Amino acid sequence: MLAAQTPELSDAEYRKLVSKPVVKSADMSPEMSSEAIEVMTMAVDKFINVKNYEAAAQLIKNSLDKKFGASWHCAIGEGFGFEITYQKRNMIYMYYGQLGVLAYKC
Amino acid sequence: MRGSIGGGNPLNALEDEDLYQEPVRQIIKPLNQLDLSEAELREEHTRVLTATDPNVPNNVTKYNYKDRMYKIDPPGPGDHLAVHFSMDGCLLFRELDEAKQQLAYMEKKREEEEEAKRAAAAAAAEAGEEEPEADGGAGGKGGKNQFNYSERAAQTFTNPMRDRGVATEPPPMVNFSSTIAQWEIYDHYMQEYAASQQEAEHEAARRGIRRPDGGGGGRGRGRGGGDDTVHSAKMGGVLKMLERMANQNAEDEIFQDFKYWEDASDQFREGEGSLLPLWRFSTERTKKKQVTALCWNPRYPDLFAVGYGSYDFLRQGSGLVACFSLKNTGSPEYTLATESGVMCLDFHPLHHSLLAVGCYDGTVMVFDVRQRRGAPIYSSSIKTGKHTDPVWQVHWQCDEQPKELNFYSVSSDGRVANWIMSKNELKMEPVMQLKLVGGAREEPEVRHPLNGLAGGCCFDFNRHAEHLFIVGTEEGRVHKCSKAYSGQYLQTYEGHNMAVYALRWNPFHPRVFLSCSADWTVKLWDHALPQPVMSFDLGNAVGDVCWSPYSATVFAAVTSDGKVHVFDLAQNKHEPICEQKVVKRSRLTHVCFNLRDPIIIVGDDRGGVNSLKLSPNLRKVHEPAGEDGKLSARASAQAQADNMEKLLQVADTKPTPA
Repeated sequence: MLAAQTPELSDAEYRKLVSKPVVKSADMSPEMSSEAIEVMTMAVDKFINVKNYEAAAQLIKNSLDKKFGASWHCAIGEGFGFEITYQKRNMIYMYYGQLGVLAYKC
Repeated sequence: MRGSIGGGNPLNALEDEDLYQEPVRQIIKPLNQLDLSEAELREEHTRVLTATDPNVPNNVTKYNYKDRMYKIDPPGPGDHLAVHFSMDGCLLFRELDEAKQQLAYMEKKREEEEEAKRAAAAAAAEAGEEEPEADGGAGGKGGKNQFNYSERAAQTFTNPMRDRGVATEPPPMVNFSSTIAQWEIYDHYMQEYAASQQEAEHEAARRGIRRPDGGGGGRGRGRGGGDDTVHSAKMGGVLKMLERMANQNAEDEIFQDFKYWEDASDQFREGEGSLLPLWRFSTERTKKKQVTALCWNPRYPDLFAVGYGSYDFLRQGSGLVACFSLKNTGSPEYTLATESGVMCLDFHPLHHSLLAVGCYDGTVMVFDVRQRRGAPIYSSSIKTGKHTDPVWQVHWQCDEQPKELNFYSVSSDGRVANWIMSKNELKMEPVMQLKLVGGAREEPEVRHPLNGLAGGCCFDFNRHAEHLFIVGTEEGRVHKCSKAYSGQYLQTYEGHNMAVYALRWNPFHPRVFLSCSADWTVKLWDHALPQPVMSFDLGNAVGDVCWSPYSATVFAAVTSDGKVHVFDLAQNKHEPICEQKVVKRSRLTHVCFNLRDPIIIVGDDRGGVNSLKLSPNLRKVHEPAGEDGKLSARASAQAQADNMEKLLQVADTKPTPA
């Protein structure tokens, strides 16, 4: 059904589309989430060229710890499943490019 | 010594510096104290202290056996000694023997100890141990005594331990799980894209719509939303209440009259009464219309509906139904507009919000007054059948409960129809075709060339025999019909020469009905007799006649010269007991008694409805004499019917002019 609706996009168009993050699920205040998105996109942008997701996750975790207090956890990957328990109002899960980025506090 | 001196002298006591404790001192003098003057008190008495005791007697005489005579025995030095305090001590003088013995004993004991110590030291040396000697030496020097030493310890109280813990509520946790895969990311992006696309389209469409009205529509809508409280139903309710209060305040006198005023002059005139005009109900919208129907609501005695239309064939317009309440005399509670002029209306006796309306163009409609939309819930159409001429009267039937609601109508197209409110439409059932009766007696040879129908003008259903009803026609005839036989009349009453405007069965007596006609007369009939029992000439076309709900012999009629005639046949069989002009320069069209209050409403052809209060003479209820107290409703009705019966008998003995 979705396929029927979605129009065919050229490669360039799709790349343009995925150049901005899409929040899949967020459980935090709007100000907090906008700040978190900024941190996460910045970190992913920084390390995407060298494909060093671990460093990106480390950076995100550290900056979020600094911004919102310990202790944050971050997972980045092209494909994975997870089941987490997080502190309420402290979770964001978004897609950015080909990556799924999850950050939560626990 | 000093205390004893001071105690005797109060002044001395005052001066005493040592007695510092009590600021207020009360001096209690012994009863035998001397009273001394200031000078005497100031006088100094010198006293010398000696070692002699003044209390010791110095004249003790004793018998001297040696001299064989009494001799004075002067007090010796020992006699003057007074022992105030003595205590035995534990000290001993060194020189005493006792002391010497004790010292010797102690010396001996010390020496024995020395001896024992020396012996122990020697034993230790024998054992070849060096240290004990050193230790002993140390002990000997005044340190701890190794043998005669006891260690003492004290234990302090140990407090019992108690466990105590505090736990804070952990921050609320949420479980969350998901999976990430490339296709999911792709799908999500695509969905987002589609949504944004759609949003953009909507936005464009909205802008497209808004453009034509130049954005003014949007603003207008916004303003409408902001003023919502002003136009809300709640505000409407408040305003309505306010209007009622304002009206009630403004018309306080009329309300007082309505409730309490009774014409005092009635006591002094027998068989005559008067009408007190109260309110006049009219609205701007009905100025040019005629009142064509009046009906009180059977449930709410203060509510009545007024139908507006026109009787003039050439001046037809739209119609209106207005429901007025006595609680708000200024403006109608509801108004219902109809396309064609309203000719008649009737409230359902049980479902009091249902209003049947007949119109000039032949349609009949049913309104639910509670729905204030103004649209009928049922309306007859050409498809479902309708009258082709004005509907002159409608009447609800409520005989059989389980059946669907239905009502009858009569029209000048010569038909009486029954309308059944089925689920979604109004079904018409023709009941009667009013065939012309070629006055059998008067002109037997003339056959009507046109086989037309008689125009029905009015009808009424007998309350006691359900199937029985009477129809008045434009030709002046009154037909008694039955719902059971649609083909023929049970009886035809001739007496009126012009159109019969109204027919009313008596509410109490089963056989009597009234008719009024354009030929200026009101006639009283017994349906068993072909001739009218009584006839009253009112000198003008009689628009309507109405029995009172409280007495079988009282009825009111309105004429086109603006007069209301009230008859009480029990008081006067020939003349009205009240004949009063209530409107100037207009015709009265309809009259209706209130079911509870002693008032009538009359409608005129200028769109106004006047309410009139009946004076006490006009509402005498003639109960049979000899019965005291209150009659039950049934007995009272029976009494009313008997009254009428009596009247009929009287009238019958006097044969009516044939």
